[in-house]
Amino acid sequence: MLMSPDTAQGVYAELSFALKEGWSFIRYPEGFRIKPPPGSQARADFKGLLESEVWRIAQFVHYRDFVSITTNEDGSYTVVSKSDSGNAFQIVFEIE
Amino acid sequence: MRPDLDAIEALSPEREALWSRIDKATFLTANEKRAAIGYGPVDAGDAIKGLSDQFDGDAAGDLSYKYPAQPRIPAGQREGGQFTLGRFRFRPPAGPKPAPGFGATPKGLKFTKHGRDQATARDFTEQRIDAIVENNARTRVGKVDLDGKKTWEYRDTRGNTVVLNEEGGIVTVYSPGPESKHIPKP
Repeated sequence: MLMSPDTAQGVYAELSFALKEGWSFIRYPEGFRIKPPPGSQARADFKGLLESEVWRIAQFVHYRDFVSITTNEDGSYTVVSKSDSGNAFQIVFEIE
Repeated sequence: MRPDLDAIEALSPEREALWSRIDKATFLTANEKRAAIGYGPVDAGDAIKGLSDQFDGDAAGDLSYKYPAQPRIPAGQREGGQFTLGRFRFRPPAGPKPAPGFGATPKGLKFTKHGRDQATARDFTEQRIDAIVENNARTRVGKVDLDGKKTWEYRDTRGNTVVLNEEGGIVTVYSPGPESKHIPKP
């Protein structure tokens, strides 16, 4: 599932607006990888912080036709969204 | 070179009889009648008068309005898409052509595929998009994306945002509201 150029540009603009200060992201062929602020993993409430950000961003950027949120073995999250018109992207929320 | 048979007096009775028979033949088209008496075809001469009168209109385009369910010649065949009824072939009237790609706003801003998907899902109508861009042009913000391409963000006072690319294409739309949906005036 490769992300089309116009999806990449659109989701990039949306993430640039929606992500809170300190969070960063990079692009890769299927979508984006989002990293939490440096040092935040040490916080006791990090898991809750990450989950709440995953949920908030997924709600903000998703296509209305399909969205899934998966917890990966390493504790990261993957959001996948698709539209009936054929657009698709995924976002991985990394934990380190 | 061909002789004008109508001008030869000796043939007059036969020609008159032929004209009379041809004129009464309701199953022939105008062009078939013209061919039978040695004349060339004319535009719109392929319709059979008796039947075409049933459709209450001379203009071929009328049919597409009055008989929207009129069968058409299947796509992929010669003249595919034209209306058909036996020997009839009607071309629909030439209306405004749809914008190529994923459509455009009334002001001519073209949608990208992503932009169209999100505008539909987020209740950003074409008119709302035009209004946001038009009313917030002076405060638009230029940005450069990961590929070095320039984008322009137009944002109204409620946070409804339209992002355009350098060609004026609609990259995306969003708002700070629930599920990024358009926030109307209170």
